[in-house]
Amino acid sequence: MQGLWLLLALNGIAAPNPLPANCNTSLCWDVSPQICVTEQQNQSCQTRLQLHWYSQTALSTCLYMAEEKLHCWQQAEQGHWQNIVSWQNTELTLRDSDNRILLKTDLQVLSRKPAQRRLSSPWSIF
Amino acid sequence: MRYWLLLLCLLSTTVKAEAALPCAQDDNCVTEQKLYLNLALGYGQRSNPLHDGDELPLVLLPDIYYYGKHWFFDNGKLGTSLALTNKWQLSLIGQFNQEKGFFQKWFGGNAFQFRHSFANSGFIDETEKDVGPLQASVREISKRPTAYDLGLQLDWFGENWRLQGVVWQDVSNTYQGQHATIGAGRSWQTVTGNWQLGARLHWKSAKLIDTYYGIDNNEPFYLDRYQGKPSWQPELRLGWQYPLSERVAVLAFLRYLHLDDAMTDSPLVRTDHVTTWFFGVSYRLF
Repeated sequence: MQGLWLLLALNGIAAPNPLPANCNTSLCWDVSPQICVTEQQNQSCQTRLQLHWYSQTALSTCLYMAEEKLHCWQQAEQGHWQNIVSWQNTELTLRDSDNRILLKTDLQVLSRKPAQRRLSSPWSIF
Repeated sequence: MRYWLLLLCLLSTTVKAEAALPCAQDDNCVTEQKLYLNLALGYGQRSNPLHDGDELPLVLLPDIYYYGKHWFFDNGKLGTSLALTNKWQLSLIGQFNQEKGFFQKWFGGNAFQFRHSFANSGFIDETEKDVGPLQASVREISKRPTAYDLGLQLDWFGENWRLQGVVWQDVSNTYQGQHATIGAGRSWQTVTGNWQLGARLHWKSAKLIDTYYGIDNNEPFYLDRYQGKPSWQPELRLGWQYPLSERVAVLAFLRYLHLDDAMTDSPLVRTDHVTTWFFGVSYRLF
């Protein structure tokens, strides 16, 4: 029970202040999670993805997963987005109104059961 | 025999707890429940160490395998396996004994090949000169049996290294013997392609050698008698693949198997080695 409270408390502290940590540039973001673990290989990952971006100047930006547009912001200095999405190995990008990539993060899917090893040599029928 | 069946049952039940081994993305990795079929078209040969034995021209080679959740099929081997640790894997495997392939035209993988004989081509192997008159043609002897073996295989996987040991027992009550192999292999990738180098040592029991290479009183009276002895046969394998696209690759392999006295003392055996080579283009159908 104490462990549960601790978890809730940490969540409560972290949620209201989602500004990216270690942000030394004029534009940066936090994306979470960046790695998802599935049971089997080639399985899609379905999970809640959330991000927060921060800029020193106001920007009009759009968020893309691969080439799919997920959300846009108009003249904002920061933005927050979260949703349940399904992905395989792909990339998340933040682009300006000219479609130039401002930020990019790879989203990886790892499987708990990676590929089996082959037990015979290739072309071993002879 | 009953112990092998008991072991098979035990493995079949415990295999449900198996955890797949981690595997880097290379040619030795397979995805569960996916059928793989590669075909290679090219040219090569497997020599035949027997007097009047046909060399086997290699033209169209299949490479077919499927690994399910609890069992696998891989180029004629049917088995089930259990991951002991991340690096060790124990497998129970069945396959037809390969020895008959030197005696019969259409056997196992030979069925894929277009065979012809060099017996009347005028070509004489240098090693044939040492045999002398005490020789027996494969065409003079009785038919050799088809045997089915059950084997217990232990694999160790390193990053680029692989060690393997396998012990086989005849379970078809044919030659009633055993054979075993230990081997080590290494693979590496360079700008020139993917290379595999392997060394193996085969041991074959006296009963196996006697069944296939022995000459007993059931054979024609004019042939020298020969009773088989245990045989040790070292082998070297070199393989090369150069991928041209996701599905197409150029491939070559060379294998050299040395036959010891237990084999060459047989009047049936003409040479002290078996060489296999192939060069071609492979295509992955699925």
